[in-house]
Amino acid sequence: MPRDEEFLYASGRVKVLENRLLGRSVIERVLEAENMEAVLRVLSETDYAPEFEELESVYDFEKALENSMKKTLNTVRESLKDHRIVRFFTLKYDYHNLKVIAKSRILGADVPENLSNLGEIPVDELIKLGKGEGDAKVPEAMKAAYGEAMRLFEETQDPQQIDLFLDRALYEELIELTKEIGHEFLKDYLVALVDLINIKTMVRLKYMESDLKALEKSLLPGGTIEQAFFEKYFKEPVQSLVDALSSSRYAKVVKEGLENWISTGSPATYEKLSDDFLLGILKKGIYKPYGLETVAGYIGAKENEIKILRVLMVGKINGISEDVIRERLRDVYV
Amino acid sequence: MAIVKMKKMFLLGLKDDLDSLLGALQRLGTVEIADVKEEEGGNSKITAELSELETKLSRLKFAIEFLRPYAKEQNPLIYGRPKVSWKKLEEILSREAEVFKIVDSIYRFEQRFSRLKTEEGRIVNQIELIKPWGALDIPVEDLGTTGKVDIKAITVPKKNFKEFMNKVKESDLPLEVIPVGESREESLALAVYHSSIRTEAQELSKEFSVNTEEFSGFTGTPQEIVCKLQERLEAIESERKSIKEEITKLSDNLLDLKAFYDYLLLEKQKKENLQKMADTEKIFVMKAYVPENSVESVNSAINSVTDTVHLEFEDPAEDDDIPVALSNPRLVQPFEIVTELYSLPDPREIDPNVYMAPFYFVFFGMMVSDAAYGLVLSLLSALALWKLKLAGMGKKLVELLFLCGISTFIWGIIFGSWFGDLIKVKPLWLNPLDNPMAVLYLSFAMGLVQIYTGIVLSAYKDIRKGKVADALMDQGLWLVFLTGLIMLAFPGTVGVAKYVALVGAMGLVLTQGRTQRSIIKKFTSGLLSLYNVTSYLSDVLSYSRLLALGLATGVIATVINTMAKMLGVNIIGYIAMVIIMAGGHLFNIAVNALGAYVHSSRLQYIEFFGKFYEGGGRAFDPLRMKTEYLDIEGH
Amino acid sequence: MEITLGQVLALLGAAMAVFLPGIGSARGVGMVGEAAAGVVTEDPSKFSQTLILQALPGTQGIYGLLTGFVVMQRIGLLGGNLLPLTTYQGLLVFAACLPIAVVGLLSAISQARAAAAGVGIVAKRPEELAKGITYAAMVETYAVLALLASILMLFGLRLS
Repeated sequence: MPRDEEFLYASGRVKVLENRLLGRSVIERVLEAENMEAVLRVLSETDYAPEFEELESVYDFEKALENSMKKTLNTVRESLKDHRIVRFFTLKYDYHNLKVIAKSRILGADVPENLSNLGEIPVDELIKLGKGEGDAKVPEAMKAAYGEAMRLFEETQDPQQIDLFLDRALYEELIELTKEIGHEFLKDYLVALVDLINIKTMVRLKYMESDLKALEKSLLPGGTIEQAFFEKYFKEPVQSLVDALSSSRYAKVVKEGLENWISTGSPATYEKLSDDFLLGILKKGIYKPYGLETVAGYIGAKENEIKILRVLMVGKINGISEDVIRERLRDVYV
Repeated sequence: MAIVKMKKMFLLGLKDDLDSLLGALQRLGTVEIADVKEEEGGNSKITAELSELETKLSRLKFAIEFLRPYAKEQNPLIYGRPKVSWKKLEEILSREAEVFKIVDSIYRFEQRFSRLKTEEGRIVNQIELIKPWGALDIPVEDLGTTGKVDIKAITVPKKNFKEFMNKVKESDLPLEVIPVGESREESLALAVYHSSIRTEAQELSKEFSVNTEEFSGFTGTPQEIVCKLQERLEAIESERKSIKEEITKLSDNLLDLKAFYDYLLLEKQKKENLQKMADTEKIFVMKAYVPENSVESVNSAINSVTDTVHLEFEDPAEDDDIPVALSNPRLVQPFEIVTELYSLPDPREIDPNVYMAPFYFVFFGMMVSDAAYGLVLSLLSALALWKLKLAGMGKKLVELLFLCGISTFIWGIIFGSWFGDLIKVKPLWLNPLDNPMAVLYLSFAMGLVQIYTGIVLSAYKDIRKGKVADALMDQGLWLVFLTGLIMLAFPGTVGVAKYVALVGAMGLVLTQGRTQRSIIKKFTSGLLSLYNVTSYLSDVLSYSRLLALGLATGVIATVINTMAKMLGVNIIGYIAMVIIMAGGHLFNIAVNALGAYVHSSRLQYIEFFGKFYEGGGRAFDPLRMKTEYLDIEGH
Repeated sequence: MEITLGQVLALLGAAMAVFLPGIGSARGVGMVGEAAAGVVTEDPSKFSQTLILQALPGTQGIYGLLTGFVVMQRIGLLGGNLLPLTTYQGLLVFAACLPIAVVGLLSAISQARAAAAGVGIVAKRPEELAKGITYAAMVETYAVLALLASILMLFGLRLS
């Protein structure tokens, strides 16, 4: 298990950087801004200024957000000897790219769009993998996962199988990674993440009237809630799942979120609550003077901030009203 | 006494006069306006004006910070802040359009800079890409397909290159590959082949990860391209230089920008205070706090603006949030910083500074306790006070060091320490190295004095609140008990001591449980209260640091001297000796002054303040001429 | 001159008094320095404030050196006439060195943790520096007490 002392330098940097996370008042000002121009004016006073200055059109805001996240990840990476903590957060981007590549191959498109540059495997190498070149510099685990996903697709001709399989592979690798790092904080976070996703998956599949087999394939490994538990409640009404989880740590999320889902038919509240819950775990980092928690908490907070900005920007560009956007917003870290 | 008595002021006036009234109060600088608005938010018109001001301020700030490196500014620490008269300020304000034109042009310069930087980065990348192709002497526009022949510039991963060339040689295709050079990871080559074998060529490319370099957007041979790009780089550099020259020309206007900024800042402060008032269409009500001794000046300042006001001063009520300002004798003022760093006193409490200052003074000196070090400290601080234009906390801190240097000097004479044992002077009292126990007892004695003072102050606090009985039972009995215990330590007084201590202890046992209901509980909690004697004991022991840190200074000074003297064998040795002594003693002064500051603060915070002081006051922050860059003079 | 076991023990005590707190301080100052460097990378204006915090766990090393020096002086090493200590006398000196040797080592590291947390305070609220310093200084008390114990024992011993 990594000792807190290994994170002294990184924590020092992070403590300063935390000051530059957007406070509630900035978010509020973005929310109240009349148009995109006003939004950019507010952001030009923040840490996001350089990224947005380079933009040629506001519709490319996604790129600016990505670049800002990239900068954060690089800062943390260069202040740590052990890069696995950052890897815990970047792995999902690589698997995202892998999915994109796999799908573009199915569709026969040559240059895939929507590739993220936040992953750590060079996009070119992934494209090579997609083209079927043998010497692509991609880790064996990902190569194998990709091969298996494509094989599954050949077998079933169902593109969704790729998503399901690669998601599972991602979480298997994350579990492996947290075991290797050996820090309770990350393990705990991952467990909660998996559990909350699994609950959502189960309820969604239930409403889609899928079968047990689909559920089995869709559930992710690594949570505290057993697969058997989900299989048992899959056949019962959602309310009984809420009751069954009423003494777990997810009680509040499940009760409010799922009951809202039952009555409105939309998972939005559940998603918001589970994001808040996960952010709550990361927030513990703020009270720790130094250590893995501090660093992981900061990366998580930055990811959350980017999510918030994305919601805000999309809302502003599409002229969605202030109140509706507000409803969708998550907690702010600082 | 030491906490300035505040009056609550109510001002009822016409809104038309409001702006000039606020201006007058701002210049006076002794009125803190309280918030009487009940609902959140406030006037939307003012909010809009405020956000407009904010925008202007942040633009000006950006321009000022951008210009600063280009201007020759006098260091305000040495020369003080530049001064501007109101007349000059009005002249600058009349040129608002011109000032903001400068701001705009600075934004443009900044944009040009960042564009140049982006272009520069791109060109540097391109050069790096094209440079390895230098040996290729055909213009890149000739690459591609000409008639029946394809000519292509290709890159092959270095590790594949040899195999690739072998394969090309072995095959009998109409294909020629001419190596051109190498980049960091790839081998570069020119491939010429007949168009009919395009498919085979593609197969080959795939097998060896061969890529084609397109050079799109360029013409001429690679060498010419690099040349052109480098010329562009130079052009960028000279453009940058010319921009810098233009900016330097603009930097003469820095003072105008600063003045404008400060003026807007003052306006903003006024506007913010506007939001705190309750108003109707024509009339406003202001609630404010004014130090008692400036009531007169406030009165006349307001009357000089207008007659149509109603003004009332009264004593603050129990639940008013009174701000705290301190007024202490000049000698005590530097010590206020120690309390300020802890917490300001509650407005209804006593100001501890007068009582704390002598202890701090004595303790600091005792912990450093070297006459020469004291002189150095005081002289350096005096120099800083004389040469530098210090203000606020910084000034107080240097003044504190000056005073503590004097104390250090005195203790140095008492203990006979001058740069440790470098200059042998007979101690006034004794050398602590000869008789540390005596100094230890002295430390404890001083600790007892401070603890007693703390207990007495606590009693005084109770009495001020009218709780005389509590003061007698809580603090009084403890004083009796502790005194008895101390007397036990002296053989001459042991006889009486027993009874004194016993009376104190009995009294405590009987009174400390008085808030409990049942008799048994009264008795047990009274008995248990005697346990507090351990906390007094540990408090007293804590003062042993006075001796320990004093010894540390002296011994380390001696170590430095001993080491240095060992070197004094020849001329070079003597020079080294002097250097080691100077450096060593300076280091020792710095470390011990820091240690003394930290530890004498701690003795005040924990051992002394713990007895009686609560803190939690809010600093008096009047509406005043709070500027950032300049001092504005006159009216 | 013959070397006695007592002399060896006394010097061993002095050596321990110097090197154990020295190790503690070196580690402690290093720890705070790392956290401080992190802060300064992002905000160079915090240099002087973090430097004060970094200096705090350094005092234990100085206390150790001081104790070692007192030993050397007491056993006559510095004057050139090393006293012919008996084994018991040597053990006494050795025992007197133990408080600062052990407490110095451990308190320096504990103090460094508090000071590194203080660096975090400075990063977020530079005006609260004094509170960060006070928290770290609370730990130092125990090093001061140990130093005092060691020195009083050394001065109290009759060695000649």
